[in-house]
Amino acid sequence: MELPRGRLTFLITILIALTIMVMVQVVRFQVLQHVSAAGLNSIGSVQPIGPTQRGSIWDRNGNLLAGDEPRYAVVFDPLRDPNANKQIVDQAARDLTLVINMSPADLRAKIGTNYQHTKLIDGLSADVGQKVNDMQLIGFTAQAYWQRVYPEGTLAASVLGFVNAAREGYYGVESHYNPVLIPRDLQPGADLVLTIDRTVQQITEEELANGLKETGAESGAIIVMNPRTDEILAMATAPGYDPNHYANIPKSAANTFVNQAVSVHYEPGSVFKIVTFAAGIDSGTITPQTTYVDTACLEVGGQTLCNWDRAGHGLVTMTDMMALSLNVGAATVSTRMGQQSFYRYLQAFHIGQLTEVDLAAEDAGELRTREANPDNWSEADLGTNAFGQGLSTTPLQMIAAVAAVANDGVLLQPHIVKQINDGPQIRPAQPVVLGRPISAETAHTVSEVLVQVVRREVTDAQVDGYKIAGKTGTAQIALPGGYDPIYTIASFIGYAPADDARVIILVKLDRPTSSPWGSETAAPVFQKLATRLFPILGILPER
Amino acid sequence: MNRNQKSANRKLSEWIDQGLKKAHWSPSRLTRVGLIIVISAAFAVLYLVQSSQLVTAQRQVENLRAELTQLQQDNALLAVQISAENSIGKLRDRAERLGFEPATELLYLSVKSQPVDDAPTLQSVYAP
Repeated sequence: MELPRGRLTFLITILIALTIMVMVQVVRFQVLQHVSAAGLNSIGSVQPIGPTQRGSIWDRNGNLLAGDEPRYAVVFDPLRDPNANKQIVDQAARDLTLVINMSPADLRAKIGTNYQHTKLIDGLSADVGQKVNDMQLIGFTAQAYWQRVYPEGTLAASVLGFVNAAREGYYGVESHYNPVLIPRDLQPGADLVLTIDRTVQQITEEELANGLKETGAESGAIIVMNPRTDEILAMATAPGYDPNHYANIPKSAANTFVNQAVSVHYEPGSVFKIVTFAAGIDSGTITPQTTYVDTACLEVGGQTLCNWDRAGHGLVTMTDMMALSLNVGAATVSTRMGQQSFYRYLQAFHIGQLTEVDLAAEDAGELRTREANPDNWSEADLGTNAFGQGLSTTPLQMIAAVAAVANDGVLLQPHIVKQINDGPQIRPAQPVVLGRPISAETAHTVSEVLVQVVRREVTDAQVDGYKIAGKTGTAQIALPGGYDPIYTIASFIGYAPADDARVIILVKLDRPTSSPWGSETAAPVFQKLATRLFPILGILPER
Repeated sequence: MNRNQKSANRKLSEWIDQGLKKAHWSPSRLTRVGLIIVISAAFAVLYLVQSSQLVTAQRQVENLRAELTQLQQDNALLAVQISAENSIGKLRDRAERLGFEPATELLYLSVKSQPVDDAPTLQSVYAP
């Protein structure tokens, strides 16, 4: 049986129409509703911001030092109809302002009469953001974004650095490890576990603040390190800042962000005699019992170098030279060694070289040698360098060099990150050996002499019950064309227990006014800090 | 349509005709057209079902992603809030409110059952 032609045409038309409708529905589901579904989340619920979290930073005991938290910004998206825009802005001025704590006048002023896309306010908490979206106001949405926060406030700010509005890390760990911390392939960035101990850091910052107050110093730095691993347990600099509010620091005070322990060099002064003394012992030039006649001044390379007290001390041993911190004695050691041998040791201690610490903007300091700087080096440098003048180091370089003495002569690379947790992958940091500038025997000899130094002449650094090895420094401040006639940089480096060092501490105070001497300013700060830290670090007094 | 294509179409038509002849079935032209439409419709329905399932699955994935993001945000917020509550400043305030004071004098006691050498040291606490 055959169907009439008209009916057949009708049937085919119906079927084709149905097929077209099916196709239209498929396109609508796949394309149009897909977009609409994605947009649904921005209305009446929390808007997803994606897994773009920056990695967190923790202290060695699992305390959060830096992390991301969601914050909300309220945004106005205008409609095409200007009259409709006026209506929705009126409604927002009436209802939205109550939630976001903004006056109606401010809201209207922000949006203006041109009705452009406008960010009204940011930094809102998740609760407020949720409330705004629950209001379902046409044209107004609360958009989530990640905000870097530092729960401990100012603690370890110079170590951490900060993250700016463009989500880029600046200064400290945030800058150095920025490539590790930033999210990749929609995965959150890796977490960092620092060698810093939050409690040790807090105590160190407190004692630094007290030290500045008591000595009238304008700034300062303290580093606490484990000399067996060169893990930095605390690194405090003052004045500090709160990285949560880094933008409040005026541009004229941008130096506040700079980590003075790593990025600023200075002439270390007499603490450098530890390096000179160690070099003299290790090269066989001197022993602790070696004597010399100490005149008040000594001429080296045409320049007259004098003791700090301008007094001659007669026949003294090298141990006396260290205890009394005699410049003439230190210059005697370096000149007896000769420039080649002396500078070889300084280079072995990595003076004038980067330690490659994992912090941003490390300064290399400066060391001139005859070979490398024939035009700038003079014979007099051999004398002045012996007591820490005419060369410069960072506090970190200085403590790393002395830590080698405390660590049986092995020089390690200081580091601040203990572990990187990259998803399931855990990458622990291992101590990196930079070299062995002196033998273990020399190191022990130097330690014994440094114990004598503290017991005899730096009693303000002595902690009852502990064998402290240490040395003060009172450095002149280099200015163009000479040295500051008034102010000094006072410092002290000490470690304990001297026979089996577990902790080494450097205290540096800039321009103290109570006294220019390291023994009267930096040494007491060391004593107070060490007294508080030893029990926390499990370092027991000797029986 | 070029000559080669015409030739190919003719061959396909002949191949179908031969197949139908072998099956001893010679449908009318109308039946053939209907058959094609039914098969096309069947394909369209099949495609629709698959597309619907795909779209549904995509939306489920999107919802799960949104939920994951929400949970990540909640976790991050809680981590920061917990850290802020446990910050040294807050702990100190709480300790002071409870009447604690900084230790001014330390007294070490020798415990016979634990020699001093076995007491915790920096090395044991901070072993790399």
